[in-house]
Amino acid sequence: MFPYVFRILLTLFAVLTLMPLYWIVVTAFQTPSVVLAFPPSMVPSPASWINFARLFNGSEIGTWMVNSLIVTGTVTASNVLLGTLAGYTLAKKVFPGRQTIFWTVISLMFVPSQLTIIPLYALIVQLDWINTYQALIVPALIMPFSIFLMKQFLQTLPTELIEAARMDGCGEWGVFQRVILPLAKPGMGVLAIFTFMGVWNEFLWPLIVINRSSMMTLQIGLNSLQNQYYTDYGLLMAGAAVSALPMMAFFLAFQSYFVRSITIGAVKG
Amino acid sequence: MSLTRTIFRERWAYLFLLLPLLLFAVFNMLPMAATILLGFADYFPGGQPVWTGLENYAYALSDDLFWKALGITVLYTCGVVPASLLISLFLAYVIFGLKYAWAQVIFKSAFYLPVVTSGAILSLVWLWLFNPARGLLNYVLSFAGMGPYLWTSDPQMALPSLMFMAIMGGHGAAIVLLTAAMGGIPSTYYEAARLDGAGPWRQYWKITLPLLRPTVLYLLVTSTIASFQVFTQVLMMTGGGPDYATTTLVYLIYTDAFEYFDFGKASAEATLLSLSLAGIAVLQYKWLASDVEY
Amino acid sequence: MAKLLLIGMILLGLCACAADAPPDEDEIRLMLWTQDYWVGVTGHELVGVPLDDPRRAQYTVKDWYNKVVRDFKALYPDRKIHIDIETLDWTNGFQKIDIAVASGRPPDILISTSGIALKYARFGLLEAFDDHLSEEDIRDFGPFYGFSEYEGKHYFLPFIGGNRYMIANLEVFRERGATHLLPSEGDRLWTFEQFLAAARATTFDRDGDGEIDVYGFAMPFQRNSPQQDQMPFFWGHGARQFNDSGDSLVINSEEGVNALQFMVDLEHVHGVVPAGSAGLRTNDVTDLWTAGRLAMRQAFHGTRLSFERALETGRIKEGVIELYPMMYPSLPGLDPAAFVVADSPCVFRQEDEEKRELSIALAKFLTNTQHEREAAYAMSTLPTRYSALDVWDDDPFQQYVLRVARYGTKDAIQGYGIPLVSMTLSAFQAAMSRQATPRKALDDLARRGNRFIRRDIERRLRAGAE
Repeated sequence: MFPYVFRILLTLFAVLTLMPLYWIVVTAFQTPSVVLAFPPSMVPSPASWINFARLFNGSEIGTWMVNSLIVTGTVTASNVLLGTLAGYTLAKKVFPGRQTIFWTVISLMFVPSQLTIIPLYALIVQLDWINTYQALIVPALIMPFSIFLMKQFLQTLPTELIEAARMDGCGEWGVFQRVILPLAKPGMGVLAIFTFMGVWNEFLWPLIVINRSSMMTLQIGLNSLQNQYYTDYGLLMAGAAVSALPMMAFFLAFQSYFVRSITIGAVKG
Repeated sequence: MSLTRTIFRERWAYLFLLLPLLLFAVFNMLPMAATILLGFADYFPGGQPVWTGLENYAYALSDDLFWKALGITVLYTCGVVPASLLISLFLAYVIFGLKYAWAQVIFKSAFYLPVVTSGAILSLVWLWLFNPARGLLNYVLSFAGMGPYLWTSDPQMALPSLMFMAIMGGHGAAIVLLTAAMGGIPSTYYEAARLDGAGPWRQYWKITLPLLRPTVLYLLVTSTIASFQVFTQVLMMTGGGPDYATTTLVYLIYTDAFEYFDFGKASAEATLLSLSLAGIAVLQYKWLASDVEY
Repeated sequence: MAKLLLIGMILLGLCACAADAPPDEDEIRLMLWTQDYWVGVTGHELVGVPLDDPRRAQYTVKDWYNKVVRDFKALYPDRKIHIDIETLDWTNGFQKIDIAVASGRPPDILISTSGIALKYARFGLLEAFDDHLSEEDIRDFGPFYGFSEYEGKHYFLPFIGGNRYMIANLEVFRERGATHLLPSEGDRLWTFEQFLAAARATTFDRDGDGEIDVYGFAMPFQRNSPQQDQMPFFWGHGARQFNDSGDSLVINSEEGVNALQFMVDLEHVHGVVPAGSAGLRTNDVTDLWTAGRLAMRQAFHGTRLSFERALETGRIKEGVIELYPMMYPSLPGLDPAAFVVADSPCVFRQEDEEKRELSIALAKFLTNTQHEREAAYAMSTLPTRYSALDVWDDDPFQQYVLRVARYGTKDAIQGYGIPLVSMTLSAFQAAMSRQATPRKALDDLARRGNRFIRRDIERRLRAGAE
C-alpha cells in the first residue's frame, strides 16, 4: 500500500521538477514569433530547428564547447584526485593539526565569493593570466567542497580494512591505492558529477578573466549572443539545451559508479 | 619532542594535504584575508586602503537594511534547508527502494536535470512561470479558480516565491549523494536486522539514517551555506525587490560593493556573514557529528 | 585505467595552459572595452539575410571596431600599438567592469553610458578631456558635452547619443477609434489628463472573456533605470531627483509626491497599467508590446530599428504594430523633460605618459564626425556632433527623435544617479505595491540616499586628505 503512494508522490514530484526543463526544450524548438504565445503552448508548433541553426551558423560554439571541455575536464579530474586524497587523510588519519586544517578548509566556504573575486582577479592580473586556460583552471584545481564531501563520505568506511591492509605490508600510498580508491568510487563518482556540473555552469569568473572570443567557455559565449534590446528566448534556450547535453552524458556515464551493486559488504565478504 | 616525532610518523598525512593546502593558500586564503582586512579599512579602487578601525562595522550595524537583510536570509534558510533536506531524504529513500536499476537511473536523472541548467537560465524560466499575466503557474491555477497571483511582483509573496523555487528545483545533488551513500551501507546490516524481525520503517530509523549521518551533515552544512549566500536568483529575478522584500545578505553586500563602491562596508558585512555561518556550522557539527560506530 | 585517464586529463589541461604565447615587450598595449557594438561594419550587412543563413557567421560584433583601430594605427606608423577590443553586454558587462575597476585593473578606454562614466569620475578614476579638446570640437559636441561635466571637469566624449520619448501603437488606437486623443501638433506635447484619457480609451478586453487583456500603458519598476523610466513623470510634474550640485536628493518634494501618486493611481485607481507594476521588468513590457497588447510605452532612440528587426525575425507579426512617436506628458505650462544620454568613451587614469596620449587620441578618433555618422547609422542612434546631424536628413522618424532630444535634462545624469538606482527603485516599488504612501516612500528614500551621499563625501574627503 504505502510503497505505491510513495511511488506516485515520487512521480508527481519528478514531473513538477521537470516542468521548467520541459519549457526550455519547447522554447528551443519554437520559432521566434510563437515563443511568447498565451496561453502557453505545451508542444512546439510548428517545431523548428531554426534556433539551433542560428546557434551553429552564427557563433563559435564549437570552440566554446572545446574550451569548456578542457577546463571542466581538468578541474573535475584534479578535484576528484586531490579531494579523495585529502578527504581520506582528514577522515582516517590521526595527526596533529587535523582539526585545524579541517576547519580551515570548511571556513573557506563561508566568505561570499562575490567579494573574494576582487582580490582573486587582481592576483590573476598580476600573474598575467588574463585570457588563458590557467586563469580558469588553476584556482579551481581543488575546491573546499570537494575535500569536505570526500571526508564525509570516507568517514563511514570501516577503519579495520585500512589496518588489515597495513598489516599485509601495504605502504601509505599502497593503502590509498589498493584499499581506499576502490571503496571511494561511489563518492568519487558523486564528486565528479558535482564538480563537472559546477564548473561547466560557472559564469561570473570566466566572464571576468576571459576577454577573447576564442577563449570563451560555453556559458560566456552563449551570453555574448544576447541582444541589447530584447531577450531572445529561442536562442537562449537552444543554447541551454546544447550546453546541458554534455552534462547529461557525463551524469549517465558516472552514475554507474554508484548504483546499488557496490556495497562495502561485498568487499568485506 | 614527542610532537615532532608524531609529525614525522604521520608525514604522509601532511604530504597528502600539501598540494591542496598550497593551492588554497594562494587562491582562497589570500583573497579571504584581503576581504577581512578591507572590513577595517576604507578602500577606493586604484588607491591605497585607509585604516578606519571598526567604523565600517558600526556603519553596517546601524543600517536598518542590514538587519532586514539578515532577517530575510535567516527566514529563507530556515524555510528552504529543512524542507529540501526532508524531501530529498524521502525521495532518495523511495528511489533507492525501486527494484530496477533503470528506474533508479530515470528518476535520479529527472531530479538531477534541473541542476545541469545554469542558474541564470533557470531564473529566466521561473520568471516566466511566475509571470502574473502570461505565466504557466497562474494559467494552471486559473483552472482551479485561483489567482491570479502576483508572485515575485508582490512584496508579501516575493520571498516565499523564491523559496518555493528553491524547494522545487534543488534536490538533484542531494538525491545523487544520498542514494550513493545508501549504496555504501553493507547489506549484511539489513540482513541481520531482518533476522531480528525489524520492519522497513525500523530498518530505516535504526540503520539507514544513522549511517547516513555524515552525508546528511554534509548536505546540511553545504545547503545552509548555499542558502545563506543565495544570490543569482535574486540578482536575475527580483533585484532585491520589490521594496527590499528579497534583499538577502549577499545581495546587500553585492550592492554595497558594486553600486556604492563601499568595499569597506561590504567586507565588514561579508565578515559578519562568515562568522554567523561558522557559528551555525559548528552547531550543526556538534549536533550530528558524533562518530559512527560499526 | 581510470587513474591514467584522470591524470591524463589533468596533464592535458596543464599543457593547454602553457600554450599561450608571451606578449611583445616594447608594444604599447591598450584595452578598449565597449558596450556599444553592432554586427558588421555598417550594421546593415545582414538586413534581409535569413536567420539560419551561414552568411551570418561572416560578420562579427568587432568588425567596425577593428576597422577603426586599423585606421588609428595607420596614423602612427612608427609605433607598435596593440589594441585589445572587448565587447560587453548590457547586463553582465557592468559586473565585469566593476570588478576590473575595483581590483585596480580597469581597461584603458571604456565605452559605456554617461552615468557609468560619471560613477567612476566620482572616484577620480578618469582622465579629464578639458586640456585635450579644441574650442571647435567643444562647440561641435554641443549640449552633450555639458553632460560629461563633473565638479568642473569633463570626463567623456559624447559618442553614441540616445534619448527617451514615448510611443503609441496606432493599430490599437485605431481599433478603439481613439487616434484623436494622441498629441499631433509641434513636438507632440500633452498633459497628464490627456495621457490618462488616451490610456483609458485603450485599456480593454479584446477577446471578450471578461478580463482586460490590452493595456493603455505599462512601466517597469524592476531591474531598470529610474532615470529613464520613472523620472520623466516626475520632471513633468516639476519635481527633480537631485539639487543643482547633484549631491542631495530632493525627490521628496510636493511635486515628487504628486508624480509618484499619479503612477500609483495608474495601477490602483484607473487600472490602465497591468497589475503588479512593482515587479514588472522592461522585458515584460516589451513582451506585451510585441504581442500588440499595449497601446503606449516608453521608447528610445533605437526603437524603430529594433521594431524593424523584430518584423524581420517574425517576433512581431505584420499589421500588429504601427509606431507613433510623441513626448512625455507634463503639467499645463510646464515643459516635459526626458533622459538624454551619450554612450561615450572615457579614459581611465594613466600612469604612462605615452599611453595617456594614445588613449585620449583614440577616444577623440572614435568620436570624430565620420565615426559618429557611421555609428548613428549602424545603431539608429543620435549623432552627438552638429557636423554629423545630416545622417538622418531623409528620415522623418529619426528626425523627430533627434528634435525632442532638446528636452534632455542634466538631472538624469548626475554622479550619484547610478549608485542610487536600486534604492530609488525600491522606494518606487514600495509605493506601487502600496506598502507605503508615496510621501513615506520618498521621505525614506531621501533619508537613506542622503545618508549614503554624506558618507560617500566623507570617504572621498578622507581619501583626498591622505
